[in-house]
Amino acid sequence: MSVKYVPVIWNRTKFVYDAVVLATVGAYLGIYIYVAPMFQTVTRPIDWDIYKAQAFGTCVFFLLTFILCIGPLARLDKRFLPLLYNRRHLGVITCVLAYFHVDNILGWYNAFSPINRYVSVFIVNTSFDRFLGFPFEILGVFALLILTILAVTSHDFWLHFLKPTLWKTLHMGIYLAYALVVAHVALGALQSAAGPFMTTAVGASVALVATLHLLAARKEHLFDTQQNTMDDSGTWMDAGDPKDVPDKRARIISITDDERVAIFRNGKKLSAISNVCAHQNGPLGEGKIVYGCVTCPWHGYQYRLEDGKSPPPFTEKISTYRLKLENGRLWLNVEAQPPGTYVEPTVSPIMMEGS
Amino acid sequence: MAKKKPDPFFIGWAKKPPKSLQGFLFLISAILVGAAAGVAFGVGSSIPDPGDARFAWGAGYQTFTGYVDAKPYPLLRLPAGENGRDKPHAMLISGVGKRGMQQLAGPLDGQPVDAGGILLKRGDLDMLQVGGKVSLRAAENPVQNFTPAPAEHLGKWRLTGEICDGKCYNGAMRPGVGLAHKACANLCIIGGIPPVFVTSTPLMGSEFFVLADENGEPLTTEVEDWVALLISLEGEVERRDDLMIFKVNLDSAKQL
Amino acid sequence: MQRAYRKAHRTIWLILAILIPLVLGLALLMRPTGTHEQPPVPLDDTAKSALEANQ
Repeated sequence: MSVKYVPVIWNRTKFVYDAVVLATVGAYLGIYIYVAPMFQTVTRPIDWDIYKAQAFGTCVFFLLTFILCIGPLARLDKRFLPLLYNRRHLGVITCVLAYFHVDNILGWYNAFSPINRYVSVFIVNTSFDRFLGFPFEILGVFALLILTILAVTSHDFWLHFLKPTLWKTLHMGIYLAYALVVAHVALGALQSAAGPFMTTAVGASVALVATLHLLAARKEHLFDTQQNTMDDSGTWMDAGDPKDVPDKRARIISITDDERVAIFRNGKKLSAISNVCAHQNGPLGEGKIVYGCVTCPWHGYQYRLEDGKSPPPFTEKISTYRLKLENGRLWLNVEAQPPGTYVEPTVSPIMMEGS
Repeated sequence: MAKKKPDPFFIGWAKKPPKSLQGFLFLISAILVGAAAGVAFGVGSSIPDPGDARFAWGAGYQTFTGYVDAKPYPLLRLPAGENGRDKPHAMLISGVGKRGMQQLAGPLDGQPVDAGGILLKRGDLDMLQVGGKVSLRAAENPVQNFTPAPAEHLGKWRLTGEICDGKCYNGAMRPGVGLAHKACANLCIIGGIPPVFVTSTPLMGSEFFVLADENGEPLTTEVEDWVALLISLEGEVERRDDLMIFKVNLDSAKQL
Repeated sequence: MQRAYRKAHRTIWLILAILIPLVLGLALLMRPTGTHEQPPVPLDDTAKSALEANQ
């Protein structure tokens, strides 16, 4: 976490994750390049460089589609959370494959000419006023630029250097990159070079990504707009029956102000902390108490319940909130304590340990 | 709460995902690899046919003797009898790579020449990529009793089709047409390769027209804006031997 | 912060979920297909007589 930076901390989970990713990419490229040509109905095969460019380019598109599905899938079904962890590896691999695509194109379509191949990308087609015929390569260049920036800044060093807010905002650039890539494909390959299967697959991919994001957005919106009862002073919010908080897990409350609070139960003890992980703003309330600490579902960052601090040697800390029990109901004080403030857990006597 | 149900929780830095999730993750991994294989096969096996266009490497280095026309773009005028043809044949020529033959052909315009190089073939169409020892030079032994016939004027037409570069379409690249290939086609045209108009419906048996401006001169760079789009064009059609020339005004171009 | 991020997310995707399919759909609709094809049209008498002579 934040003690020191090493290039990448490897463990078995990451190895398995990357092995699956490489197997997926390998299967795609291997079958596209070496198996599919045997089943084509062509008089003569497509130029080798162009065919490879197609293989890499389509692979990048489908990988991007998959990457963009992981987020909303994990919001809609927690079982997909393991795919979220290490999603950056996927992004970096995608970026590298995009360079192979570009290399094959530049080494063929933009080669054999007196004009420099890199310069030619920007000067040989200037029909910026057209829709069909638009220099779609430029859209690809911008997308590649974004992918490169995101790949280079994907390491946690940059996350800490830029701070989570800026880093997450920057990495939302992937959505713009996806939009650019879809336009790049629609105005380029889909105009003539691609067959009907590719056209259908692109349409289905776009529909899938858009639908999943809209579904996840709707779910989040419904939650954010839910109303909870406040007491007369306006500082305490009704947080429901403490028995409704599952043991080792949390109940997430949307508070008036701007945030969500996670009320965790560890046996009889109840504590409220910010729902926002200090690492990447992950939803702590969807995490679990493991080894006595709240563990973020995204990247496993841990916090002590009573003071919102990561156990030493780590230094992250988050806001805590005060709780009280009245007539068997739990009330949450909506005013956040400064990050790392100790708050004595509320004990609910009527609950059995582990019930 | 449902206490009996397992409550799996994945932690990235843990050695293994929880047991109850392993089956699901295995399933997802299998679906991923399977989908990748299926989509790759589907996309790769269904690509459109780029056509029977190629470099005729098998025929080796060939030398032709005839006349050269430098305008609108360099072409060879060959007598009957070449390559088994029973009529005179007109054939486009290009340099190596994306370079035209204007520099060599210009001074030799209308004169007997020898041209050596590799043929590009697309069905009945062909083009000579000039190079090597012979390249393009004044003929050492001009063909006797042969002068190219004057161009035959076929009137003014509106044709529908796509502007390509003559070399890629003839087999220098597969696929050598379409918007995905537009940058390459423009590079070719900038380099001096003749722009050609490939019509969607043949006119008098021909779908392949070398483009020129209204005066029979090479087109300006304006043509690059119209390359690789389905357009209609208006202009005079003339025939030199078996090769059609389409002398157009680009202002008449309409995107369809 | 988290909520601002979620809101930004929602807004972005409300726009992109319309914009991306729109661009894709337009590009596919405008694709030149057989329906655009037109036979050669003779525009003067020379062209017409050349056509007749050819038939």
